[in-house]
Amino acid sequence: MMYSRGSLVDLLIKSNVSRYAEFKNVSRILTYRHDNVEQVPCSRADVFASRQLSVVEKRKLMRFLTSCVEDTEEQQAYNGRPYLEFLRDQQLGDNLQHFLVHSIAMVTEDTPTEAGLASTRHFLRCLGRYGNTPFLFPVYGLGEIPQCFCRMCAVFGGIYCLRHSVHCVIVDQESNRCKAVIDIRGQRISCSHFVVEDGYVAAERKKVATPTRFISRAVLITDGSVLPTDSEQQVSMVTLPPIAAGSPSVKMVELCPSTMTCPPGTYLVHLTCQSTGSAYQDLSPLVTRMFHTPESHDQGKRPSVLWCLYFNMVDGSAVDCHNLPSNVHVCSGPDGELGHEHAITQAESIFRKILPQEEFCPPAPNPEDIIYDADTAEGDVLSRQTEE
Amino acid sequence: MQWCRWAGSWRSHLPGQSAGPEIEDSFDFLFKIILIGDSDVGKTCVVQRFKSGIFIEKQQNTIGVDFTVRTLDIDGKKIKMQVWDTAGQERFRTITQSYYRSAHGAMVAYDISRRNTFESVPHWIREVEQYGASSVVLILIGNKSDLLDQRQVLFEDACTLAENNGVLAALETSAKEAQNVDTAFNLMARELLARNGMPMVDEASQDQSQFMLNNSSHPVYGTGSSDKKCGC
Repeated sequence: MMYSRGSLVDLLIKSNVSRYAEFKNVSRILTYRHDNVEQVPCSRADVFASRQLSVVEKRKLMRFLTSCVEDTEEQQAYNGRPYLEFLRDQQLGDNLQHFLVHSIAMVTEDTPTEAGLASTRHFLRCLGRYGNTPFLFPVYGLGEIPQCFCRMCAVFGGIYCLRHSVHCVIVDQESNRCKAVIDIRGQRISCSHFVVEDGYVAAERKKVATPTRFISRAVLITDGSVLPTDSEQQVSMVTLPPIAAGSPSVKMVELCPSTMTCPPGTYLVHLTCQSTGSAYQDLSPLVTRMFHTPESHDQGKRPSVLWCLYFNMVDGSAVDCHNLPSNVHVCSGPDGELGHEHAITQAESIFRKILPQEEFCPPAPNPEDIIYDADTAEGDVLSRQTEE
Repeated sequence: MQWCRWAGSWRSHLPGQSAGPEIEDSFDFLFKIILIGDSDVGKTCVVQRFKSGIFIEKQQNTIGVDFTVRTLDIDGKKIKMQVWDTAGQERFRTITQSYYRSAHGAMVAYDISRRNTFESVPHWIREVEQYGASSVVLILIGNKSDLLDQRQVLFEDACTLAENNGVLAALETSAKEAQNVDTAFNLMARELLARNGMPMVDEASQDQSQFMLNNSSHPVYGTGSSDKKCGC
């Protein structure tokens, strides 16, 4: 899931890597309240079309969304106080407060007003760029994005060697620099820099400054949408407020077959939250309520879970410093956030450390601008690269 | 119909990156063709021969070649052929899955003077079957047909393999001597045209709401339907 504005989209466009991928808009935002799935009106069109809002609420919501774009003294008076309190004082009513806190700002009830407003504004800025919600989803899944960057790299000479994992690293003791790596087949590969994911670094190399945080995840394949409509091809972002005090708020994405992630007639559902317990403890109560599972007692009209998987993973947003050679660069795994700001910032900072003089992801020439000429073919291509 | 829509979004994606006159050309269909096959069978040379009619002998491992575009005229229809090269990713057989996505046709290339490149062909066909759409049109090309005296693969073997694997055709080509390269692409274009000129059944996947990123915004404020997203 990507925001339609932000460093990832900017980078994809700037570098022309976007030519390797296609996207779909997340078509609607849903929330779960009183055991019911509801659509969240977020764009002007949605607000007017909404059947669950009264005329008065529509007017209030439009007025609020228009006014909150600007920073006012009234807002500043609430700095440090909960966003919910600010909204309550705007006389918006329960319905609108719920939508604004959980589905538009996507914060919790005690988030400070300034943070809540910042998230609300980000959401509004992303609206309408490519469609009716602020989110994009890459066709075939998020795994396409790194492949697109790899393709661009390969086009300009990068070499890839998949299915060879690194067995060990050779470090020169004097300079404390990594000189080579040895792969599982015993092949030595010299290197001047080594970038490795956090998960491969042994525990004793990590500074345990903060306790590791975890993310709880669940992946389901279901036989229907949580909110069926005339169109079977909806991509939904579902925000799920805590179902009980102390339980986490959960983000759920429901993907339809046209995202090319699941076969026709099925939906792929991802649930993510910050761990408070195991993934099963955190998420299965919600799954049992929203879907029909073997544990469900009643026979409601909910979609059935055909397959499910629960797992925990380390929250990559909190990597700590490592006691490693200076030319070994550690990147973190995925985090629980919706955007990919952290990954892009980290990629750029590692790039700067390795190649301080070079531009990060410069625009690639258009293939049609590369002209073949029998005499200078290769040189021409290379000189164009350097020009860029 | 669907191809035109896709083409529409593609066109809207290009201006600003290049102002070549060719871009302004209209076309009826756009097909993505991928080249696959072992290293050094001459894939890049085939692409270049098709694109600009030239041959570069000392082509090293491919650098900077992403895809090329040439518009063919088939029965009065303008067919834009977007031909993708592997960018050298095949060297360690590490072509990422995304290379095969949304390809309409695949040229599986081997070198007639090296038997092992022919023996890899089933591997490449399996890759297309695994990662590509089910309707991908395959053409087998035995390149370097000018190296007759070093031939290690009989054309009959190639034909047998093609027949057994549902490959549309087997051809021997020479990028160096411009033999059969255009023929191969023309054949591909005709087949794709024949298949896509009819109403399509199995492409439910390719629904119209997919789009590519560009800098221009498509604000959707009206209450109208959202099927204008592609800019077509």
